Amino acid sequence: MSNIFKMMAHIDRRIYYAAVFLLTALLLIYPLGLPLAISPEVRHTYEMVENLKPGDLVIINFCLSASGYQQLQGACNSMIDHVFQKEGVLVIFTMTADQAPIMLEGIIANNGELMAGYSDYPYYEINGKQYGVDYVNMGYYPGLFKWIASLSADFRTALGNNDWYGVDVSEFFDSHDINHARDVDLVISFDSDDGAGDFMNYFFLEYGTPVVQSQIGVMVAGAKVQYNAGNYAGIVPSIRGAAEYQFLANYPGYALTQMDAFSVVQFFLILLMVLGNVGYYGYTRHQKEA
Amino acid sequence: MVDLYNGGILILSTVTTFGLYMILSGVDSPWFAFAEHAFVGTAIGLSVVVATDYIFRTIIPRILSNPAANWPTIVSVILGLMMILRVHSSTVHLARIPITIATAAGIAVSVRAEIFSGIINQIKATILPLMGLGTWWDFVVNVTVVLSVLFVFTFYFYTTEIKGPLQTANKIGRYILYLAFGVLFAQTYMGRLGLLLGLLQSFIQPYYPNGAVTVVVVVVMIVSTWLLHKRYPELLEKLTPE
Amino acid sequence: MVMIVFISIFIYIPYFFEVPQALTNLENWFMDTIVIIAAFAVWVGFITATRREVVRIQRRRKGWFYAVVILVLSWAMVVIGLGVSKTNVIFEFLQYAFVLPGDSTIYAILVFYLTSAGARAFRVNSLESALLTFGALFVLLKQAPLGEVLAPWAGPMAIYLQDTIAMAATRVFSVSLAIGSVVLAIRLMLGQEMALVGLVRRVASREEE
Repeated sequence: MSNIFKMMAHIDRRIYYAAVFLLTALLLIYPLGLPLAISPEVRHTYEMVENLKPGDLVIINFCLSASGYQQLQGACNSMIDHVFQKEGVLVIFTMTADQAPIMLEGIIANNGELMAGYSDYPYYEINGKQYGVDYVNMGYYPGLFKWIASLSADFRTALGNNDWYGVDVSEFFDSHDINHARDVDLVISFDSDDGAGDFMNYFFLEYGTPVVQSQIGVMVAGAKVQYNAGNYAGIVPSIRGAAEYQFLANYPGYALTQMDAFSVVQFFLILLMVLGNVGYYGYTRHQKEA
Repeated sequence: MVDLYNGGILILSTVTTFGLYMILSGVDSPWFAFAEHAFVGTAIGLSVVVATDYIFRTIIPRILSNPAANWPTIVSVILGLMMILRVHSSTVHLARIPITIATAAGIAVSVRAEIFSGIINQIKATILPLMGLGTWWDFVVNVTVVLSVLFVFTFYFYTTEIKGPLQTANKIGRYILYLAFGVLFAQTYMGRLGLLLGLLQSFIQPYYPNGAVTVVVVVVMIVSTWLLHKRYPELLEKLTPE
Repeated sequence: MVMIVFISIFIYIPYFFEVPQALTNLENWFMDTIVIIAAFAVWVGFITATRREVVRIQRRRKGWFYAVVILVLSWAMVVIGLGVSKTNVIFEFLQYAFVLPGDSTIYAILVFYLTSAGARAFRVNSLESALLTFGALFVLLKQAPLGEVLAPWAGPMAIYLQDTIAMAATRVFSVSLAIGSVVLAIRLMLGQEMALVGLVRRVASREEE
């Protein structure tokens, strides 16, 4: 019996690694189809986007590295698709992370189609919204909070007239009379760094612009603090929030299909914690007392 | 059939990903060294390109549209160029001017907003009503938040002697922090697991070609590393950097 | 130090008071300038990295050929991205092949270390470790959809812990961080943190220390 406890107390960590790999792969190939409860924060965020009115201007910011995108793929695709479904809503894409531009191109290609007469980016039509008329992709801006502060102070100058592809899109801003930061009606930020925090500091605190954040797991605790303090208007926390938003928006794939593997691996961790404690009390503690 | 471009991306991204994962095995592997150096090299290049592109896309057109009116932007660009002088010891003193401006302005810009979002709003959110609430549960939640914040604050007192009631509060604050760290661990685990799931899904699905290529490449990497360890240890020694 | 005080004053005052347009323009210019300086600062890192790898190749240090990999790939990205186009097929190929999977993998590796840590570190042998373990346990059960089915009793407790205990601790971290930032800003203005701007007093000899 003590051999069993000894084994439990001294399992090689490479066995943990291999087990996590195998469990994850198996459940991605053979999902179980488990039910999913929707949290109040995600439901509230969904309703905020659902209540956007024609003429509203939304900034969708990517402060997202490739690692964060793997987690928030579901949220990025479903939320952008949802915003683009709203009639008359205008969108400006911005990026404050250097890996974000290529990821946004993937999202646009995933959710849109090339406009008639065009063969490459940025001329994609998403849910009837045309590039240069209803939305623009202004690209990457260095400096993170410094640029966001600059955007809040001098909106048009900080954005410039050229989009990420070097095309002059001043017509988009002039035709919709977009000149100042207070013209923005909603900011949605996908974050693996604290882009939404900076938009909160320089847009919400100065102009009352609501800020919604979809963040990676390590930022969830801090985001809940800001959400409960009323600084964030909505949050979509990590992969679980992404799956919930996808469910509400009826957008298949990504996080929804990963939930089963997500559940089982977390249960595996709980099992390991229990085994470790059984091994500790059955063997290691006796060894120490001896 | 998979074309050369997408096939190349598939193979190299699999090599990069699983090469980096080889660190989990605890054995030296040239695949890990290659993946690490390739990632670092391309990431550095990408950062330089996107940052410089911002200058060419936004700043230069602004200057060229009206140089006389945009002379402050020209001064900004000169300060930016002075920053590059930091690379040589004879000119590093000139780089201190843009560093000073960036540091001072950066800290001032962040602090002036932090005072509100980080201090005032947080304190406001902690001052919760304890009477006249809807249900007893709301009372429990509000009392827990208020007391938890106060107790955890006492844990961070470093400049006074902790004794008497302060010592009890400090101890309770420590227990609250332990509970909070357990919760934060679980939330962090959720986040990192989501990363792994997204990453693995892109390598497994669709089964052809992604799944097939992943299996082949991983088998080749594992077999080659095993062979190097067993048959050619001197070559392995040369192929793994210090 | 004078420059630091001058710049800080002209950033703070327009934020808190109504000021003439000229001062607001100066504040905007400062904010614009720091973004431009940040864009050029990346080149400092690039040039330093290039120099380090060239030295490594020249001295034929162990694994010097990997330095060739870094140099070739980084310069290829810069030359193609700036010289040709950032939407060029080779530039995007290198991003998809190395940058995106590399960045994703580095953070995803932590799952394995966290699993190993969870199995080894969560030992219920004292009040503190019991609190740590049960805090993690409740939230793990609630987060997983399977946990909500098998252990529905964990949900309310986990929500309580997340919305009260964890939030309180994180709030204290936020306030401490903000107070620390304010103190750092004041120390910078008083000339007490000159290391931040690269002014470090060199110690000439041990006696001076």
